[in-house]
Amino acid sequence: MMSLLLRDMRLAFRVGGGALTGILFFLVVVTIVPFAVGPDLNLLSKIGPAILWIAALLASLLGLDRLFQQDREDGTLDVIIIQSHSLTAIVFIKCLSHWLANGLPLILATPIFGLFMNMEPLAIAAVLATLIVGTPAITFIGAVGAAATVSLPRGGLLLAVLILPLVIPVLIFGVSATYGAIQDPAPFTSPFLILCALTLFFSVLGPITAGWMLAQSTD
Amino acid sequence: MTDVTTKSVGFWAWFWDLANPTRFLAVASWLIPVLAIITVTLLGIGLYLGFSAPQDYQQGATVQIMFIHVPSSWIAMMCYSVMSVSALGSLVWRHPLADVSIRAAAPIGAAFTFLALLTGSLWGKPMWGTWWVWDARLTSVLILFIIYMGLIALSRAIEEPITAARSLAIITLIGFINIPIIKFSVNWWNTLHQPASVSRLAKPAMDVVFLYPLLTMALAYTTLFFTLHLMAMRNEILRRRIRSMRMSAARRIDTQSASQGN
Amino acid sequence: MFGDHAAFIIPAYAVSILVILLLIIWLRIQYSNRQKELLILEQSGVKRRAAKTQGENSGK
Repeated sequence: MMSLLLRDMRLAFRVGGGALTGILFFLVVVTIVPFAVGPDLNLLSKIGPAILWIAALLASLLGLDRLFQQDREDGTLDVIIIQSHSLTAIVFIKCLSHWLANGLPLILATPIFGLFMNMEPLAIAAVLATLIVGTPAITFIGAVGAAATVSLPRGGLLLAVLILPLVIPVLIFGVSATYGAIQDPAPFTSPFLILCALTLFFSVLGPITAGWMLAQSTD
Repeated sequence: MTDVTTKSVGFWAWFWDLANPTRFLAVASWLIPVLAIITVTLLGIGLYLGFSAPQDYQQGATVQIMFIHVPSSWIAMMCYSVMSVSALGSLVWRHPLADVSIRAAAPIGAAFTFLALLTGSLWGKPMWGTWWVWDARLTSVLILFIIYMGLIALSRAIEEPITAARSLAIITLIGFINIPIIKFSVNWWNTLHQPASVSRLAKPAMDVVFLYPLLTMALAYTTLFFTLHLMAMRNEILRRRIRSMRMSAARRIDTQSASQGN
Repeated sequence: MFGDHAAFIIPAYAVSILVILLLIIWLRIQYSNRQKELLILEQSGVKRRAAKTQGENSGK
């Protein structure tokens, strides 16, 4: 299990791996927004958390179609399926390594982007916390979509369409919790806890479903 | 599975009988015209009752839109339920018709969801003064529409019937549990933001002059849906049959040319 | 007949009729296309796999 985790991480950071494209895409989205809405710093600081969340969501969707595809192409996936006892655990580990390689660097970069958006330190901290808790859910949901589209030649866009409705609750509670931390009357704790609950829920349901679908697709 | 078919009688025996595509096509060929005639009759009665209904004291003539809006939304949801049950049938019992049913229902569901959104918009503009409100009900119907489109895209992307069926069934079920989650989330989201300033009309108990045409139209739409669904399933079965015939023909040509080569 | 709101009621009915008609026409066209393809295949001598065994497993 540990070796699989390390192997996947090494592959992601190697030349041709997708880890850095995510951050680059994130940067591009955040840079484009001020050109669209105008350089008004007050407005930017108000919509900043939402922009960061949308950018993070899109950036995490970007690399998801490669989650199983690469392993399927070189036959590793078949070997893993035949050898291992629990496909659910395998998928869980793969999601985890995908998140560590693609999600975490992105989240660590948010404070810098937050400064671009003229956000308060508190708001940046809130975005950071909600992204850490919320983005794993996106990866786990995405694993189901990746397993469904693994055999398709251009599954990337289809995957985004399929899982976008499913990640809406994550987005809603992530952004609500962030605004809850900044604006006084809105609550922070309850949306944050629901966000945690969503992540835990999908961390179980996602790998089970995705593992099952992978097993079906190979036999 | 053979246990079930030999032991069970009555409805279930008939239900498994339908798994035979030829038998299904035979049943469909008389059921479709019958359902179509019932649909046309019900639509006629419903439209007559609807247009002869008086104007509502609150809503005026726009109550006419209700007679097509509510049945469309009802079919949009019922179609998804039919697809979810079919998805279970496909995954748990491996009923061959269940796959066909999901694939056939998706475009029909998308069409009715589109109608529900559009007629709702046309009803909302004179009533609430706006085309669209981001409330839980409207948003979840919009998401339902996106899910339908995703399912259609997925079913078109995979040529091989069995692989497509598995993926479709699972995504359908995930969408089914997701819709209540979305509804809950949007409700939460709306309580956080300032509630929309449009005034939603309080719903009084509906008068029978509106209730009867509405129920008739809902019934008409239901039979319409099943007519269309059967037609679509028949097309899908024929499509698969043609596909397998073409493949066996191709195989035969292959073996023939191979033996000639020897 | 519909008073001030005719501009909303008539489009609602018109689009509903249009969409449902398009759906029916689309299904009919597909059906006739499939029938034609089947006819061509049968004329070229391709038999269905199940055609021979149809009578035997009718109990299933």
